Amino acid sequence: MMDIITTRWLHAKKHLLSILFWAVFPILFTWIIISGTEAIQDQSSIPVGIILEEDSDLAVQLKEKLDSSDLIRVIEMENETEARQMVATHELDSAFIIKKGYKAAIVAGQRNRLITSYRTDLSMGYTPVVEMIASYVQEDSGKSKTAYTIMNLGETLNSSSIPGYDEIINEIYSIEESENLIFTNFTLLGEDTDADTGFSLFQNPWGLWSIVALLSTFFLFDWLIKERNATVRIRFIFNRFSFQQYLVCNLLLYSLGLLLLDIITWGAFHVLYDEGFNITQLVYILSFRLTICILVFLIGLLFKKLLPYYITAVLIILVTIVISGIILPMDGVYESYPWVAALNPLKQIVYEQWWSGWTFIGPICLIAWYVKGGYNNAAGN
Amino acid sequence: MQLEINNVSKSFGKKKVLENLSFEVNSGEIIGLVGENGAGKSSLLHILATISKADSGSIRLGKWIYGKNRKQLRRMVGFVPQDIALWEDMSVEENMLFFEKLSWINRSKIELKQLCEDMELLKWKESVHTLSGGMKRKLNMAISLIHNPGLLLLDEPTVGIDLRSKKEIAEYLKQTAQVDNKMIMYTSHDMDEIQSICDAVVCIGNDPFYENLLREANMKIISI
Repeated sequence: MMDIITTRWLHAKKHLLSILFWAVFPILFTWIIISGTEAIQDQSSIPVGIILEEDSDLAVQLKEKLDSSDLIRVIEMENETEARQMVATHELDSAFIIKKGYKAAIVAGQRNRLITSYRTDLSMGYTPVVEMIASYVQEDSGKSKTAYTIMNLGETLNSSSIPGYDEIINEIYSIEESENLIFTNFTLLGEDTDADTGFSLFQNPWGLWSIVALLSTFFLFDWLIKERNATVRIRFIFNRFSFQQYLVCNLLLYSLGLLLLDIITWGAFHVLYDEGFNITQLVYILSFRLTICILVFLIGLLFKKLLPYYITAVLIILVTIVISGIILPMDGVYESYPWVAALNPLKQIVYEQWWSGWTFIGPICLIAWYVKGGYNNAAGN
Repeated sequence: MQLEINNVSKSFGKKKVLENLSFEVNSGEIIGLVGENGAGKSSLLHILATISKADSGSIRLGKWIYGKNRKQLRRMVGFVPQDIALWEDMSVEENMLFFEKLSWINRSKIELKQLCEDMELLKWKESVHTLSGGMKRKLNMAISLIHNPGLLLLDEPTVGIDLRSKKEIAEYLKQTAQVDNKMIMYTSHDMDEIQSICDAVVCIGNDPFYENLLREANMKIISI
């Protein structure tokens, strides 16, 4: 194998930049697209300034609730003058000051003049934010009123086990979490509720990575077309390695190298996107990498020229994107034609399974090609 | 070591290119294969190189029999193809190293460089695509000699190259046949070259033109 590594290096060092580019392209592209999407989402949300004059739990909760909205980007500030200045210069859409005594007022059931706001004529997000704040205040105020009603009721009934205010509020929160008022579960008649529906391209790093990894594998394997059509092929008859053995050793070499990069990607996605980091996932990645390397290798064997190979590679990527359900939902197609999902080369990553149709078809075709090549080789004297 | 060819025939469809060809070659001999285009010179070289198979007849190289001992024969045969079979984007050194790594035997870098220098190929570090036709032909030959074959088969090794390179290749072939005791068979259309290098000639295709030419040149014809 060391001899094969040396021969590969003699080739690779002539195209080092291109190889390095395609090797790191999947992780780099995924990182750029996901970071870019997040940045665009951040930029497109309305910047709203919040000044907390008190750090009570209710005031902090209000700020956190606003922050949890995708449409609003909350910027916590210390200085009211600075906030006013930023609103005036349109750096902030609007600013809200949660006044001192906010919690006390809510607990007391008062809802007037709890918050001061600043806006301009161009404050597009002001009205929705005010509505949102009003809704949250109403909610908190309602909870507070409920707590006092229960406490008063306990006193009226002379109950010895009346819970405290905080106890009642905490209980309301826990009931809220466990028994959501609205829970939607929409399924078609006869459809399995946990059916796979593809993945979101820009929200799933592995999904995005797997598509680009397939593309980069096609470009990294173009050596196969170049070397298969080279005049030097005849020399392998008089070498220790047959041409088939040489190609398969290189397939193995590339697969191992790319697998190493995939393991690095696995670690990077865990750090960057908090993706899973367990053995099962490693098995999916291993199966995916070996499957696509064999698949790309077999496809490469069908071509004599680079251009048709590259065009086919791009077409395969487009078909894969379609059958992965990224552009259109594919559930109906999968139900009628289950083999479509089974033949998706990204199946291991998209549906987190250890196999796809190609996991079996690929090695069988590879063995058939190898045996046929050996037979042809032996056909000479 | 001896190469024995007995009643070898080969046809492509209805066209017979080799018919009951028989001759023997000994170590240290250089044999030229002559004949018009399509006569079967390259076909015979391909059969001897184990690239294709004879339809009938028997061939033996030393103790190894064609059709039975393919692996052993391939270790003993060096084939210089008519097309230049080199990695164009690699240097002379890299081409030699590449094929040494895949070869049956290990050769040091010094040995590989010496092999090139023996045939006046001195541009060790230069990229193949910058070499002249003659230099490429020499490298084409040098690679085929890495595994030190006993039988060297050359398919028009001097086609399209300058006189100096032709002469240097011819000198090298003579020297390696004598000093290293190699058996060399090669095809060429250049009768002067055949006359100056070869110990004997095999005329393929029963062509009276070539036969007369060889007789006029007093060449030893071992098979017609």
